[in-house]
Amino acid sequence: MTEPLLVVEGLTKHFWTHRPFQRRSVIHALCGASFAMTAGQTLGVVGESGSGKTTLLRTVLGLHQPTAGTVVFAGQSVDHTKRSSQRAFWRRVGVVFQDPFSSLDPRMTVSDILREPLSVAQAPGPVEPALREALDEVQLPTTALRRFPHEFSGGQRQRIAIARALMLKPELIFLDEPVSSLDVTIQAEILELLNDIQRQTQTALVFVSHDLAVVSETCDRVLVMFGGQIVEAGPTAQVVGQPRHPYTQELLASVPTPDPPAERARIRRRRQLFAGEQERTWSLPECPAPL
Amino acid sequence: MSETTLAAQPGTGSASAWAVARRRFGRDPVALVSLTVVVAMVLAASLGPSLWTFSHTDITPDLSQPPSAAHPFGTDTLGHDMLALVLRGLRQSLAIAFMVALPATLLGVAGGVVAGFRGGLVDNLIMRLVDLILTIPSMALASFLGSRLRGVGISTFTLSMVLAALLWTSMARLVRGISLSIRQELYIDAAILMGASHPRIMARHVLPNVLDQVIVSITLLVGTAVLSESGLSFLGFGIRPPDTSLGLLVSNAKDSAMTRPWTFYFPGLAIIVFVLAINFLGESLRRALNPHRVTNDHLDRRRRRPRADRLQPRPSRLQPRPSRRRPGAGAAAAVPVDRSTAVGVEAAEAVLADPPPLLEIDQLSVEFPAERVRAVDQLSLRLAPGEVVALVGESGSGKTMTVSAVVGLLPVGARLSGRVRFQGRDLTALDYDQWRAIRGSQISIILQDPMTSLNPVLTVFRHFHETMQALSEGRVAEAEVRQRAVELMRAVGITRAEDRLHQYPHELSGGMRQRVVIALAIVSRPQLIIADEPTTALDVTVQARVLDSLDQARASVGAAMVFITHDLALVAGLVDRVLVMKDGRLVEAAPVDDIFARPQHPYTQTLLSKVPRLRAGTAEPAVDHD
Repeated sequence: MTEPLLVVEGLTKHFWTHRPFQRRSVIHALCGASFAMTAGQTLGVVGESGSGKTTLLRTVLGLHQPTAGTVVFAGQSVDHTKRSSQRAFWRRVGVVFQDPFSSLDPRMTVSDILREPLSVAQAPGPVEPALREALDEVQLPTTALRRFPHEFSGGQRQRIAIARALMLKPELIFLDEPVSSLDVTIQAEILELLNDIQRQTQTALVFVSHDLAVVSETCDRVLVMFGGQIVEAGPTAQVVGQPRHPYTQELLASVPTPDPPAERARIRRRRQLFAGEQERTWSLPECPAPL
Repeated sequence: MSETTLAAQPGTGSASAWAVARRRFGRDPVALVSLTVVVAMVLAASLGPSLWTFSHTDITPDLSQPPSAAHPFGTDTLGHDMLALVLRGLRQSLAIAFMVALPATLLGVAGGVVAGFRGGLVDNLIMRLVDLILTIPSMALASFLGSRLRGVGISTFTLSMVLAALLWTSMARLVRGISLSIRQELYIDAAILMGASHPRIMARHVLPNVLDQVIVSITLLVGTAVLSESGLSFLGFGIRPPDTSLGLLVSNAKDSAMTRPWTFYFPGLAIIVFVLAINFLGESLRRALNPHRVTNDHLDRRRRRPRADRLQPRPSRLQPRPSRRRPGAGAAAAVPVDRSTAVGVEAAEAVLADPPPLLEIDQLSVEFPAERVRAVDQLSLRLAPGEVVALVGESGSGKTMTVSAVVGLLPVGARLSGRVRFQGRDLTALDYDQWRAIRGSQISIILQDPMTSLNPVLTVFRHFHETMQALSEGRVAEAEVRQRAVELMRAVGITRAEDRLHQYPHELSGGMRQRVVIALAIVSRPQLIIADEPTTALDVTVQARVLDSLDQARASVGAAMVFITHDLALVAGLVDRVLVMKDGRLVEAAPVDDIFARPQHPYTQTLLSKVPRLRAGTAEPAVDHD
């Protein structure tokens, strides 16, 4: 076994509500999440909204200060209370967000957007070839450089966001629902692009999505999250083929199939499985108290 | 796929947001007039005093003369030329306005950006300071300072600084508000994750994005400063003689406004014209810089819905010149003529056919002449009662425009041609009152985002109450509403329906909200339900549940349904027939089993191949496994 690239241990994030004249209450957004991945691996994180998958990603990155737990990247512990430690980590990872309309600064040209990671990191070497190379990688023409984000479609913007994440040749890219705001056709193109990039560069991916089908097309391993906890983890084939947790089973039964007879059968079976009622019959173990 | 080819819209080119704003500004007559007035007055103030024959200190032998060729604005009691005085006054007033606006803007923008971006303690400190300053009555403070300095006379500079120290707060509040929302944008997170420093992010990302709003408020600030200076000088606490300002001139002339009106009205007019012009300029800048004003303003009450009877060719200013039309667009005008015979034949056939169609769309086209775009191109379809069809296509394929035409909700500027018949009645020529009898009662619409289709200040119960009252055109007993609402909510799978009745939309989850919308849609037992991407904003698991609810709700009232989506897989188990749209045209229409088993059109084949599939294992492993 090669040395793990990213090891997350017992990562916990609690949010406290502040409402005037009310007792502060705690929201267990993330409860002791642990996982590890090696270089070049692709890891999917699946769950519904509110399951903590985006909190997991943002806490690993340090956009939320973790309540407890550790993040170790390439053998080095990431201390999110220290700016220098954070920057060293950020320098080696890329991030792509869900909404390509909010993730690109509307007042910057594509050229400015792609230059920014280089100039912030004070990366050596000529800039122009790097820009062209990045656009080439995401299959956009170099004429895009002079344009502004509003001139592009959602899919094209997501390509620009991916190009920006690739600028510093990261070892790991975090993708937060990168295709869920796109049409299926565009979605398929972006997934294909991500697969190509992954094959060529051997970059590791953490792919967050609510759609198990989308994740199964990109990822070797899957984490299934529910209520801030990882309820199931394993190789994609195993999780999809032999789901153990009832939530995973529900997730799988919810994925539509492009085959009418099979789809009608799936809907019938889903209705039997979750007969009428909307409340789930199983429950999660209590989240441990904050340390 | 056109995805990788950069299709720039004609006319926009690679124009930046600023260039677009500039062009829009140039087309706005109010903007041009107000800009001309402001520029002219600034020029007059800066160059006028040195060009005009008299200086404001010159004393001429003509005392209290009305306007004449020698003195266009007349003279005052001491023989000063009024034009010279007004020019000098304008110059001093504008100088003060500028000296106020510049530091107030710098301070306000810096304070606002830092407060909005950093948040927490920094935000609290800055905003409490702002609150403190806002409690100071600015006129009182300025006049207090002016009176303390009465011996020496307050200098222009001191007066400006006092006003700036009071006026920066409004700018700071505005900029903080915008910065707070920019702080939530993902590009700020992206910059943080690059390791960019906070000053860098504020300078490169926050500042450029607040700038357009700042420019607008600078104009308002200048106007306020001119008025404040005038007010102070009028009260005797501003500029002192022998120098002058507009406020001082008005003040000096206030007793002689009736006897020597020219000494009073000319400086007063200068104040009014300048402040009005700069406020109009600000308003025009706001319009030019705000991207949401570009196309259709949904709140514009003056807008008119397109109706077929307006489409008869007639000389109208609103119609584009033939030379500017796209080839083919001219055909729309010709259609009504050809149709007069063709439609009759079809209608006869429809009567013979069994059963008669519920909805019949014939050669429907929707065009936007201003943008030279044809959103829907000669689309025809028939929907039998109780039939469920899917309208599938990518965004921009015209699927939403098609159903908008069916329910008469096309955006402003759209031109419709062709015929839409619902239960044999032509829908294209209805007026608003006639529509009311159909929309929401015979045709129900479910939109993509349940958060915006429910009113956030009404409880679920009120929504049902309002819907039922609108349907019955009168009072409906609350008990009756309650009973029916609970019944309908249970039908769409809402648990604890009685408790939910008194909840507000924001207290429900996304799936629950959409189920409430579905329940509302079947209150009237409609003949036709139009569902426009009803589950696109939802998670896969919730989507499956909501689709179940929708299907059961529809079946319970026996309505026909048009289901719009970009995801073919979604409709495989839900519909009878699939219609595939591309670029405004119907490219394929077939029963659901055929379209998945034997897609004919290459585009349908592409769409099908793009559907995400579970990679490992079979289609429904979860249930087999158990």
